[in-house]
Amino acid sequence: MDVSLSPQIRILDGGQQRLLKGIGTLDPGSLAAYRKAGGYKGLTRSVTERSPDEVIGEIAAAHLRGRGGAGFPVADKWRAARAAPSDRKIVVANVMGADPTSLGDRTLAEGNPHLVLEGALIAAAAVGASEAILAVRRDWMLAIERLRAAVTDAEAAHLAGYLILGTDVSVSVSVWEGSGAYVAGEETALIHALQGDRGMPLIRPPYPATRGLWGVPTIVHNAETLAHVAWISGRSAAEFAKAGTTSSPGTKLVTVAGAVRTPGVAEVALGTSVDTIIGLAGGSTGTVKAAFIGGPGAGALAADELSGGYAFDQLAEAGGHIGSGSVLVTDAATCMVATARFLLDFSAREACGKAVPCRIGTRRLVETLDRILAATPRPNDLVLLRELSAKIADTALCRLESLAPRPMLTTLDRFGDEYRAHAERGVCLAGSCSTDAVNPLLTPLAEAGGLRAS
Amino acid sequence: MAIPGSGLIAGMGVTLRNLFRPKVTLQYPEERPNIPDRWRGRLDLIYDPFGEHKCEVCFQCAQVCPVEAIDMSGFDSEGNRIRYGLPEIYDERKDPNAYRRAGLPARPERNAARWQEEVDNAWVDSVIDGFGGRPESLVAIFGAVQTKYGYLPEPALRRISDRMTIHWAQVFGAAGLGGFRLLPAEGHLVTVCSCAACRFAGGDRILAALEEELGIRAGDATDDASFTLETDANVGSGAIAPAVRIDTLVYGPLTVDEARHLIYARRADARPGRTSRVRA
Repeated sequence: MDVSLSPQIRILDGGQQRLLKGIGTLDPGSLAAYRKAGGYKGLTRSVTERSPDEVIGEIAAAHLRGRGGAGFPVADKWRAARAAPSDRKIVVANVMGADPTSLGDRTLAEGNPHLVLEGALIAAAAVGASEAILAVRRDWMLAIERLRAAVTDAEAAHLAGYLILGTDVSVSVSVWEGSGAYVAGEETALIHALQGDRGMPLIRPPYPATRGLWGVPTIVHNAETLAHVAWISGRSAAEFAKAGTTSSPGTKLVTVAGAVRTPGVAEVALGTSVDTIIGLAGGSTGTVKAAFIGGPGAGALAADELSGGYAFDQLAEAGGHIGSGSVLVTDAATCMVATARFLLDFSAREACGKAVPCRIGTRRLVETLDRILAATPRPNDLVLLRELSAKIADTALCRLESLAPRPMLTTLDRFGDEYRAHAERGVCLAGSCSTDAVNPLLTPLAEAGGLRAS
Repeated sequence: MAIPGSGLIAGMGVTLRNLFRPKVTLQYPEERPNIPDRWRGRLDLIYDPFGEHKCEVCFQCAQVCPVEAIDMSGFDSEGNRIRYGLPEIYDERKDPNAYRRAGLPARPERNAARWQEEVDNAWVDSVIDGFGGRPESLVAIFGAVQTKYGYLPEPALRRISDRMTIHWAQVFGAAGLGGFRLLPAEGHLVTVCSCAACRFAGGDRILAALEEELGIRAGDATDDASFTLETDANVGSGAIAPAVRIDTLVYGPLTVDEARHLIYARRADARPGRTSRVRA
């Protein structure tokens, strides 16, 4: 029995034991252990007792929202896919870990693969899909191995594959080893990658729920959403609502990292204050200056805003979003301008190149921040940052792109004096910036006195 | 001896000849030229003021070109050299000029043909056949090739394209955005995790220390080709941030001194690089 997880994953006690229950003690390779703990009850119920509409109704009553970033209501997606006229429908579980700072999906795939698989099977039964694809990042070898074993065991026990539990529901499950940039977390981009194309997003609508993988209705959920589906189907919507707030019921896997003592993954009830979440990771190694919530498109919350709740609506009001479920803490010695530049640079590098506002716009934002960091700004650079960001958000092709300027915008709102000190006086208020933060290309350009004619 | 007036007559002769030729000047916009439907003008790539290509080498244009007329090479947003086409084409001649125009040092070594690699085609075929040649297994095939060669050699990508009858532009495009290496690493491949979690935990100090230790910037290789330093957000650090990956081993959480020690420990057994062979 091997219950160990990858060394990158540390489980923190967030006070909730739904998805993380048994991780580290329950054998992830054992179907019997999973069933003994109440597993596959939801699937059995969904295929033998309930009609697909009742299954969707239960999820709708639970107000389950997608845990992958956008927070789209799961039941709405399922209804659209169920209503789509097609003989063939597909469920895709997104275990790609597109945001490298978020480890919730990886934890589930390694520690409780049957839970993810059960969720995918329930989703397939509910929308009438005959195929389920578990798309896993190829670097996560342990996750792939355990998911493959789970699929094999479930098929042998007639819980997956042809004629599940003797009913007329058949779902063939395959594990797909994927690889891709940050954008592969976007559902249309993942669908492209699955087809063997370059992983680039498509304009929506048509949504994948009506026209997705190989042109057939496809629902894409990340592993955590599917785990919640399995949990709710095995219990009830009322029980799901016991944790969380009225508008955001349930729990969420949060990855706390950055300047904290014991970074790791915790399951918390939605509505828990961000302060408490940081406390789960042993608190900050220094003084908390800001927390970036939601991955590379994170919104920054200043230290005095951290008492607010970690929930869909509350974070949206505060300027953040749940996103990939990562909470990154920065300490007092971190320059917010350099941090914003770093996060924007990530978005610019990971751009797939399809949408011009993203490909060029984010690059221009990085260059503008470089000018500010080098204390050689143009007169209206701070205005330009806001205008360009608004245009990028307006004309974005995918959600990742529209979120890309957010780390910069939210820090500009909260730490505007740092931007101005850099721009006007060349002083870093955090005292952390060296010339290394500056684009090396700029230095010789400035020495050469700007552009020269050939 | 010239006959007086003969020059004038010769000149008038030219005038007279041209008088009866069909006119080429069009009275635009009243008159419009007859342009074939599929004519798209002369293809040219543009540069920004820093001498960087504005092209991201996404292969979309090559993919839609019906007659496969487009050759490409350049640097994608990750700084990877991507190329398709003849050994010395378009931007490789033009690159140094663009850099000089921008007042930057031209770096012709970036254009050195480091991409030639002997590829075992029979082996590549067997990998493809093992996956049934399905296009959705492209990533898994890339993974197998990268495991064998350490990166994706262009001849292998071409072989995959031929064998699977997938347009080469699609193969290259998928490889370029798939997190694969398109250039060989020289010596030990030192990858500093550049994810936000690592950075906030002090990853930028580790990168600075390793750059100083090796005397190179991220993305370059040392002169003796014993180390290549790069950054990648997908080392996947989580609880072990800040992390560094050396070849296939991930180390973390690291302090600056520990990171330096990892380099010392490898200095002794640093294996010679592959530059000398491919430069030939």
